[in-house]
This record gives sequence, structure tokens and C-alpha cells, in this order.
Amino acid sequence: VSLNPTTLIANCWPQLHATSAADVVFTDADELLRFLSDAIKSFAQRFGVFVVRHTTRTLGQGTLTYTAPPRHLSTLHVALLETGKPLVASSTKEQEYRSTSYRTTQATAAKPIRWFYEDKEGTNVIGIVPVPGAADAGNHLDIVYHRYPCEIEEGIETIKTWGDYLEICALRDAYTADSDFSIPESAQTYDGISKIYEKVAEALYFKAQ
Amino acid sequence: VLNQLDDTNPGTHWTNAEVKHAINVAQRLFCLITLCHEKTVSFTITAGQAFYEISDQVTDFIAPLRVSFNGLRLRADTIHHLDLRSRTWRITFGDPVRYAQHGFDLLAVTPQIASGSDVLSFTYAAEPTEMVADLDVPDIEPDQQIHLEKFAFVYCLLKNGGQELKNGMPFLNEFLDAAAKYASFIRARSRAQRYDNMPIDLSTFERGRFELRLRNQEVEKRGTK
Repeated sequence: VSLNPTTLIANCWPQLHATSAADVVFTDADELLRFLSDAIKSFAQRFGVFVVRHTTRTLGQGTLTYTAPPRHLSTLHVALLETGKPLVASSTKEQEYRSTSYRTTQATAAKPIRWFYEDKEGTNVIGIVPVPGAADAGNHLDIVYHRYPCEIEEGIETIKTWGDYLEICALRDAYTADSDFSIPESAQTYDGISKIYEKVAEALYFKAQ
Repeated sequence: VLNQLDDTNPGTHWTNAEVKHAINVAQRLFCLITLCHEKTVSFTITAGQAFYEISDQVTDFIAPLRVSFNGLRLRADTIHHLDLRSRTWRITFGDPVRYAQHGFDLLAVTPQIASGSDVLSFTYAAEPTEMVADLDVPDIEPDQQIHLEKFAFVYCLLKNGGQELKNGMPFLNEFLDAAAKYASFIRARSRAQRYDNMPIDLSTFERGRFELRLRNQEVEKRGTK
């Protein structure tokens, strides 16, 4: 089920004393879209609900770093697609302690690719150690990662229950706004209801991954 | 709900569509809290494929409860533990014995069947069907349906705020009490059936969030001080 932001916004109009964007006051469709977008990004970051797999990063001989998949938040698991072999999470510091030439030492049959790391190489970059050798070139990374749905206009691939959550967050933000339109007690109640959804998300999806 | 709102039918201040949406939100939240709406479907698996997107085959998925293959139950696991158990679990052939589910949508199965395709018996907590027509019936048990209107009533009052909303808040707490009570019943049942996921415990949820203090009361309080 793909949630269409137009439908989500349409569901919000009656709660804002309006029937459409034409007769709403103190807010508009663009603002609601921004509230929905903020809510889904925050939800994705806090509860890691969008876990996806990416398998098209191709290894190049001697290439240490690879761009992380699109809309990457954090990496959960990396493996080599062709062999299925999982790589061990590591860090630049650990690799520096292990070998001063880790950035150039190529993998061999005896010492195959073993680690991945994500720090000190800039944002959204994944490093592979030892760097791929000739035999690894052309193979692919199998990356399981947390993602955020950046363009809410594209639609969010999830069930209506989470659409309700997004609507409630958008209405909370609309009624929190510092204006004559503000109804703090309604904003407080919307916020309280949104916390119930978040408690479930935490229990069901924010567990060990 | 319209009667509780002292509105006519069809509503003057609240349209039928608006109330219907509130009831749908209520039912979906009730099912999310209690995981009471269970479904079992055949989930198709393909030879050599370890990862699946659940939404490709199931469109109302909340959480897995029980997965089995040819009558034998698969154990719930995480990808991390699968990595620790075997470095080749992604490309191991055989009858599936473990599965991992992450986020809303990702399902991993190991081992993978060697040829063709087969099916998993997939029991999951589902989202209820959207009620569209006036005579549509909620998916939840009849004895629980009475609670939906309490939430819908408060949801409709939210756009007005003020004393009216404050007076309606006990209905929201009654809805949550009912959901918490039913969730504990489902939790006990899930434990007995050894399901892989159970409903949340709402007893630790801070209900103080719903204790409203209106603006004029704030001013009065400040004046007293």
C-alpha cells in the first residue's frame, strides 16, 4: 500500500475546520506537506522502520570506499553478494591499529575481504578492508540499511495505520503553531496519541537488528 | 458518534465521512495496540532467494506472529544472529528453518529452497480493512467494537479543543483502558501459542499526557499565585 500525501492531507482538512485547501485558514497544503515530511523523517530516524536491501554497488580492484545507497541513514549489515559472506563492522581506528597500509592492501584468497567501516571517510561512504583484489572486481556488496523516505510526494510504502500516525503528527504541529489558530490542548492530545503509535513502533521495529 | 457529539445525522458540524475516518483511525489504532487481527496467508518463496519484501505479497502487514514451512515452524531470529550462526546462510540450500524480519518490510529466510518455488504459512498481525460503506462491519471482535466510538468521539472533538475536549478526555482513557485490557488478553494467548511478537504493555504509558489544562485555567492559576 502506497500512502499518497494528497490523501493524508485531505484527511486533515476536516480536523482543521476546512473541506479543502481552498477554504483553510492559518495553514495551507504546503505547510501540512512539510509537517508530514518532518514526521516521517523523524519516525524513520528514531525507530528504524524502513529497512531495505541494496545490491548494486560493484567492487573495483583497489577501490577502498563506496558510496552508500540512496537515502541512507545507517548501515545494518554488509555482505558480499556472490559468496554471501558477511563482513564484520569495524572502524578507521581499528584498521589503523591493525595495519598502516590497510587503505592499499588488496584482498587475496588467503586474506579475503573481511571488514567494512563507515567513519572518517565523509558522509554516506562505506569502506571495505582489505580493498578488493582482482578476483573480487565485478562482485557486489549486499547492504542492508536504514533508509528514510525523502520525497514524501512520491508516496510512502506502508500501511494506513502509519498514515494515521503521520496525520496526527501533522495536526499536532498545525495546532501547536504560535498563532491565533493555536489550540494547545488539542496539540497536546494529538501529541499524546502519537506517542502511543511510537511506543508500538519501538516495541515492534526498534529492536535488535 | 454523532449522537454523542450532539450533532444531527447526517452531521451538521461533523460530516459522515469525517466520523467514518475517525472510526477507522480508532480501529487501526486498536489493532496496532492489541495485534488482535490475525491473518494467515501463503507467502511464496523462490529457489535461492534469501530476502523478500513483505509488501510485495502482503499489503496489511504489521508484525509476524508465526511462520512455518511444510508444517514445521521457523524460528524467529535476526540477521546479526544468522551471520553468527553461519557465514553462508544467504546461499545455503534446504528447507527453511529460520527467518528474520526487520523494519516494516524486510524478510530474510534461511536456508533457501533449492528449486522452483514453494510457500510459507505466514501468520501475522494485520491492519483491519478500511470501512467505507455505512453498513461495513469492523474486523475486530463484536465485544470490542463498542470502544471504537469512544476514541472516534474524542478524535472528532480535537478540532474544537477547549472545555468540550477536556470533558471528552475520559472517553479516550476508557478506550485506552479497553485496549490495554484486550492487549493483555491477547498477550496471554500469544504466549500460550508461542507467537513471535506480542502486543505492547500500555500500563507503562504515561497517561498524564492526556491531562489537559486549558488556557484560562493557566491564567487563573497564575493569578492566584
